[in-house]
Amino acid sequence: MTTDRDNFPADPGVDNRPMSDMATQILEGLTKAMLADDKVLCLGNETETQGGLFGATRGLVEDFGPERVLTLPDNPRAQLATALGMAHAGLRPVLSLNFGDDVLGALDILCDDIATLRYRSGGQNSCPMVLRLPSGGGIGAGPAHSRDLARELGGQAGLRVVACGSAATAKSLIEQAIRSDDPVVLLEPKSLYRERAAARVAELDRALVLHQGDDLSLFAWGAAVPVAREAVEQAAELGIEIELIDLVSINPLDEETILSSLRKTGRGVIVEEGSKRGGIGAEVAAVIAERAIDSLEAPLLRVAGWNTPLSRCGEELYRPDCGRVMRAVEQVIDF
Amino acid sequence: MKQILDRDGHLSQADALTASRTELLEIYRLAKLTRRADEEMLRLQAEGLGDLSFFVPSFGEETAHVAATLALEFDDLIFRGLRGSGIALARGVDLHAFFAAALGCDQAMGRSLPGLSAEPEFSICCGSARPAASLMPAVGAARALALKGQAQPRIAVAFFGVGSTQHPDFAGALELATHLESPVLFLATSDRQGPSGEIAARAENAGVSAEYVDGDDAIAVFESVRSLSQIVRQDGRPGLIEMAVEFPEPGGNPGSNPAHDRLGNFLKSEGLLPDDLSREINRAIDREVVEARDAASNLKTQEPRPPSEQIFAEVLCRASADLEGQDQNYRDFDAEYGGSEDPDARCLL
Amino acid sequence: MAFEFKLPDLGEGVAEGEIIEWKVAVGDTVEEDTALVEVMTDKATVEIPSPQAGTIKEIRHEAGAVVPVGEVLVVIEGGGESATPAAAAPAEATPQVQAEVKLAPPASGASAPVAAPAPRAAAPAANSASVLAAPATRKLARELGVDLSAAQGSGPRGRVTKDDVRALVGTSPQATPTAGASAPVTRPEGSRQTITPYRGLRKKIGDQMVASAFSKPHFTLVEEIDMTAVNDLRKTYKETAAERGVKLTFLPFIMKALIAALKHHPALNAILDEQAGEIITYDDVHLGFALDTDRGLMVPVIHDANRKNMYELAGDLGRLSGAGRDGSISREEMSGSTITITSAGSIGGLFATPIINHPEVAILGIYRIEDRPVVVAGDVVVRKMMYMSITLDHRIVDGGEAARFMNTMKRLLGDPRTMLMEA
Repeated sequence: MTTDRDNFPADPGVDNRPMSDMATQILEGLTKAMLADDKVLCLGNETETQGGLFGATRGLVEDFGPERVLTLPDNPRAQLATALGMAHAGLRPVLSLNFGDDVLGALDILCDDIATLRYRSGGQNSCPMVLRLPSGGGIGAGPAHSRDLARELGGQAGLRVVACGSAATAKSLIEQAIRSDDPVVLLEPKSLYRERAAARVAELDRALVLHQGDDLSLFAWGAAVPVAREAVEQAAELGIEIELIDLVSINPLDEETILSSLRKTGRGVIVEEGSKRGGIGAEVAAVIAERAIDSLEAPLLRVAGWNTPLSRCGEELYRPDCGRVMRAVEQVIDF
Repeated sequence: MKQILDRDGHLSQADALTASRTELLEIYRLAKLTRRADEEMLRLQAEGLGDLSFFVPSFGEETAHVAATLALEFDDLIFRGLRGSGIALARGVDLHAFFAAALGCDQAMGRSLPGLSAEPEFSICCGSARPAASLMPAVGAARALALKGQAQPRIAVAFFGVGSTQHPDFAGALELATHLESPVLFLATSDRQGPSGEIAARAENAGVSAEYVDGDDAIAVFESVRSLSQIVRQDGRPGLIEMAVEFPEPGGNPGSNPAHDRLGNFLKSEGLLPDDLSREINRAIDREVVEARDAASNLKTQEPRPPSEQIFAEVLCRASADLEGQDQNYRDFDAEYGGSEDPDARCLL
Repeated sequence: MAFEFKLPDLGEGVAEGEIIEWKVAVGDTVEEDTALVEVMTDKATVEIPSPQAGTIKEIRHEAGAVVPVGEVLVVIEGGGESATPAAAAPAEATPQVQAEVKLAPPASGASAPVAAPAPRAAAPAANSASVLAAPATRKLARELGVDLSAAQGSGPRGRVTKDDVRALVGTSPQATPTAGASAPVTRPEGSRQTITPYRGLRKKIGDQMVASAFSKPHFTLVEEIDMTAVNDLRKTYKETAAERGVKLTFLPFIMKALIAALKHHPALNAILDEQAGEIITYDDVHLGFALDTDRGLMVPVIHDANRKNMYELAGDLGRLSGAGRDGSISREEMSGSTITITSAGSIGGLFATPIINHPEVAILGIYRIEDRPVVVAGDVVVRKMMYMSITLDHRIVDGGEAARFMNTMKRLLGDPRTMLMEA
C-alpha cells in the first residue's frame, strides 16, 4: 500500500527521519562530527561531559572515551582558554557550558583572545572552536541563568554567533559550526531543548525564510522563532500574510535576506527574547533604516524582553509572547 | 636558587655545563642583539615615529629568555606576552620583520602590539598583551599536543612575568595543568629584589614540579630548561622554572646588564670571546639593527595610509557582506580623498 | 496661567489652515466659545472658538499665515490651566511619528493682506517635511515629482498615503505634472506688481486641476441647444417660484435635463477608482456645480439631485451658492459629487473645454444664452440659443456615447415637456 507521502519526492532540505528533540539533534550532530574528524573533541565540566545539563552529550563519553570527551575544571575561564590553546595546536574543540551566562566571567578570553586571533595574527593563527551556550529563559532558572546573550556576543568582530530557532535546524547548525574555521558561538535556547521537529538544513550565515508572505516581515531568532510562528498563524486567520525570517546568524547578519524581505513587504516587526535596549533587534532595525528606508510603509516595531532584569516569577511576562507580537503586527499593518 | 656561574662569571659546577661553545656564544650574541633592538625600538617610540605607540622592552630578562629559548626543541610551541623580544629573535625571527611589524608596516603583523605577532614557522603563537593570558591556553595546547601522540613529543611553553602571577588565571593554569596532566613548561621571570622563590613554591604546592634559578646566570637557565623540558616531555606532566633576574633601576645606568656581563666574562675567561670577536659582534649588531630600522621606517613613509586589506582582511575565514560593504566604503573614500593633504577631508571617513 | 492654544486637528486629513481673520486682539477678554479666529482649510472656512475664558496675551500668527495643525495660534492668560482643546486628540497607542515643522521666511515683497501687528515675522510655509508620510510614500512622491504638501492625507491623523500621492497624478507613468513646475522661473521685472501667495484654496484648485488634466485623456463635444421653450417655461413659473422664495434660473432646467439624460446614459454618472481598478457607476445623481467666488472656484454638491423637484433644485442652488460665496459652506456640502456642471462660461465666451472634476468622468459646460438666427423648417427665425459642451474621460466614455448623450440633452431641452415624461 502506498501513501500520499510515498508519491511525493522528499524535500532535499528535510531529513525524513522521525522527529526528535533539540538535545537529541545536537547530540547527533556532535556524534557525526566526531566520527568524521578525529580533531574534534568535546570539552566541559563534569556535568557537560557526563551527559550535559540538558542531555545534549548523553552517552558521548562512553562512545568516544575520556580523551575526546574531556572533563575540565569547573572554571569557565580555564575551559575557554583550554579550547583556545587546543585550537592553537590544531584541534577543533567543542566547549559546552552549563549555562550561557557562565561565559560572562570569561569575556576577555572570548572577545580579546579567541575572537580576534585570526585578525591580530594576520590570518596565521585561527581558532576553530564551537562554544555551546544554553541561552535565554523559559525554565525558571532565574536572572543569573536566563540571559539571551545574543546582544552580549553578537557585536564582537571575529566571532560568529548563531542561534538555533528550532530543533529542526540544530543538528545542521552544530555540524557546520564545527566545520567552520572561525570560532562559533551556538546559542541553544533552553526553552527549545524539548521541542521536537524533523531535521532540516540551515546554513551557518544565511537567514531562513520560514514562511512567505507579502504583508509584513517578522524577524526572529532563537527562542523567539516559535513565538513568531504562532503569530504567523494567527495573522493568517486575520488575512495578514506574514513573511517569517529566522535570522539564524546573529553575527554576521544576513543583511541581504533581511532587506529583500523588507523591500517586498514594506513593514517589519522584530521579535527578540532579550531586553529591548541595545539588543540585536536595534541592529536589525538600523540596517533597515540605513539601507531600505525608502521601502518603509510604517515604523519598525520591536517586541522584546522588558528593559528589566529577568524575574524568575515574571518570566512569562518578560519574554515576548504571541499576543504581544500580534499587537505589534496589527499596529504596523494598521499604520 | 640554582646557580652555575657566579656573579663574576666563574663556573661553580663544571659538570653541570652541557651547553656547547657555539650555543653559549649564540646566547651571548642574541642577548646583546635583543638589548640593542629594544633600545632602538624605544628611541623610535620617543621620536613618535609611525605606529610605535607602546613598546615594552625586555631589559633585564633578555639573557634568560634567549638562554631558555635556545634550550627548547625548535618545534616546542611557545606562548608569550609582552617583553618577549629575545624569544622571537632567538627562534630566528628576522630583524627586518621584527621592526616592520612593530612600526605597523606589515599588514600581517602590525595589528597587535610590537612583539606579539604570530610566527607559525618558528612555533610561536600570537601573543596577548593581557597579564596571564598565555598561561591557560598553553596548558590546553600542551594537552592537545600530547593527544596527537607523536613519536617526537612536543610540549607547550609559556613565558610570563611576575605580574601575571598576581592574576587568578595563574592559579587556574596550575590547577588546569595538573588536572589535564599537560606537558607544559611555565617559564616565569621574577625580580631578584622581591620574595625569593615564591612562584616556584606556589607551583610545587599545586603539584607542579618547579625549580628556582638565578635568571642572570644564562648557563643555569639553559641547563634547567633543557633538563626540565625533557622531563615534561617524557613524563607528560607540567613543570615551572622561576628565573630571578635583576631589572635595571629606573633612572639607573641604562647600559647596565649584569646577566650579559656575567656570561661575557665567562666566555672571555674561557678564551671563547677574544676582543676582536667581541668588537665584530658589536659592529654587526649595530649594522643589522640600523639597517632593519631604516628599512622599516622607509616602508612606513611610503605607506601613509594602510591598504584596505590591513583593515578588513582576516576578521572571519571568509568575508561577510557587511565587512565587504565597509571595505568598499573605505576604498571609495580612499579613491576620493586618498591624495588629499587636508586632514579634515580624511576625518570624513 | 498662560494657555497656549494650538490649531486643532480639523479632521478629514486637514494638515494646515490659512488664517483669514482674527476676531480678537491682544488684550481682549474672551469667554469660553467666543470666536477667536477664522481659518480657511483646503476644504472650507471655519471659525474656531476659544476653549476657555481669559485674556488674549499673544497672537502668534497674523492673518494670511498658513499654520500647520498643532502649531500655537494664540496665548490666553487666566482661566483653568488644564483646558485642552477638544479637537486635540490625546496621544494614541499607535506609534508616533513626529512631524517636523520648519519655519521659512515669507516670499520677499509679499504684500500682507491685512495690516496687523506681526508678533512673529515668519510664517511657516508648507513643505514636505511638515507633512506626515511614511518613507515609502515620500519615495513615491519623489519619483512622481509630487509635492507632498499638496497631498490630501487620508490616513490616520492626516497621514499622506501612497494612494493620496497617486491620486494627485493618477497612475499613468508619464504623468509627472509638477516635475517641471518646481523649476525656478524667471520673473519679468516691473515697477508695479502684486505678489499673492499660491496656497490655500487657490493651490487646492490648482492641484485638482493638474491632477485631473494630466491624468486622463480629456475629450470635448460641443452642441448648440435651442433654449426658447425652456425660456418660455421659466417665464411662466418665475413668479410662482418667487412666491416660494426661490429664484428660478436656467440652471435647474438644465440640471433636470441632465438627470433625465443620465437615465439613458448612466456611464457618465460615474467615477473611476484607478487604485482599485474599478469604475463605479451611481444610480443617484450627486450633482456638483462649479461656483465662481472671490476666493476662487468651488464645487458645491446637491446630493440626491434625482430625488428633487425643480423648486428644490433651485432652492439648493441658491442656498449653496450663498454659503459658498460667504465661506460658511460645510465640508459635506462640497464633497461626494458624481458629475459636475460648470456654468462659468455664462459670464462670457462662446464655449470652453472644462477640466473634469477628478475622479468623475464627465463635466457638462453651459454658456451664454443669446438671440441667434437659426433655420427652422426652412425659415430663418430668431431663437434663444446656447452652446453646451460635454467633456469626458475618454478612457471611460466613447465618442459615440457622448454624441448620443448630447442628442438626448438637445431633445429634452428643446421640448421640456418631454422631461415631464422622462425625468
